[in-house]
Amino acid sequence: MILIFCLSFLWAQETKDQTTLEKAMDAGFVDFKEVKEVLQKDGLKKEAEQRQQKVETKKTIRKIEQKQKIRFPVEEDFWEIMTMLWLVQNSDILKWDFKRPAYGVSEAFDDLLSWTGMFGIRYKILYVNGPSISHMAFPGKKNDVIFILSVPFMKAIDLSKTEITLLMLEDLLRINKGYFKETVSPKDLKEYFGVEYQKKPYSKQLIDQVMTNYSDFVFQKGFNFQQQFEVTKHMGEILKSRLNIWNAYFSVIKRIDGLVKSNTLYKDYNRLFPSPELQMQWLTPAKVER
Amino acid sequence: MMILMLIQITLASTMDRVYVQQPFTHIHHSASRFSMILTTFECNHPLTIDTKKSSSEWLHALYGEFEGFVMAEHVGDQRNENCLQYKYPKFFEVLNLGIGDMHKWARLLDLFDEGESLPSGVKK
Repeated sequence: MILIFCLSFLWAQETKDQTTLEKAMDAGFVDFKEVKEVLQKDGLKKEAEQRQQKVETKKTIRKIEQKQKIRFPVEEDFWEIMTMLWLVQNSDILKWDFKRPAYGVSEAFDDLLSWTGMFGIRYKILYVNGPSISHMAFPGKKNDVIFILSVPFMKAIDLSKTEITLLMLEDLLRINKGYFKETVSPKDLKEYFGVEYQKKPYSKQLIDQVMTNYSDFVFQKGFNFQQQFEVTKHMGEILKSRLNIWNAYFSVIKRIDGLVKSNTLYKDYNRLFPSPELQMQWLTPAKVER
Repeated sequence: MMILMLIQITLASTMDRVYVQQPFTHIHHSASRFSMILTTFECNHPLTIDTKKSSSEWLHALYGEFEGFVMAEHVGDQRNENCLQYKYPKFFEVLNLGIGDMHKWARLLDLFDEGESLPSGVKK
């Protein structure tokens, strides 16, 4: 009974509301323009527009991201990937996977860089247990350098930590002067950096070419006389204010000269870094004739 | 019941979620870069870390059947949007790295001695 009573009451109420609304519409009381204005005042339209804008922005970002994903790496990322790939591919020749103690070279190198005022350089050192590379720096990201140091080479001429860091500084100057990238880059490489795949398609051939150039440079060609002259002179300029370090540098070159002349394992050193003998000449101040 | 809940809460609070930040990284058997390698993970792979068993340099990592140590500097608490292989998937597809290459890449990152030259007084 109660349920029937409730239902009949609700039905009566609804009918009453409907008739009121119909009457109001007939009398022109419900102005839909007014309703629209109210909605606008409430900011509902604005909110809808903002939502639409957000969706559009998301779509644009997604499009840009998709484009970025198929692009060729930008220059700094490219060199990092290439150096890592070359080290991976040449692990059997270089022999970098071996157990070794902590040599503490990083701390000494930090000190040397601070003294020279070369700040903001991030570096990685990889020790190798073979004579195929004595010492060399490879390009990484912007301001990143990857150094390779041969433990047998360091032992052969009994290098101290400070002396090792001087060779690293030499290598750093070579990287900063762009000699490495300049020599190993295929002709049109720059045209690929950051460009979408569709605009400039690339194949494994291009990467293989860079890998071959790396190997040719590191194991065969090395630096030319002009590059060596510039680096040696630059080193001389940097170190001349501290005679003990300048002397240490000169002594290292002298010992390398002795090594390459006496040990056949290092006979190729002269071809890669021409030449310790000349470097000593370039470093020796010219005699003033009276 | 209360004791059990307390134990659960204590255990849960020592576990952390981290993500691999390097292109590839290893989980080692013990906290040494020369210790046995258990497995290799790619960038952004999630790992569970037991902070109680971790040090500042090595984190005790758990993933499925693997339990070992990962270099603290190789992981972070957020995903890395700049992972090379996610930034350039097409390029890495062309590179066509094999499992051996990924293992060696991670090994290289294990073996690097890293440094940065900063003006005196600036902390690393």
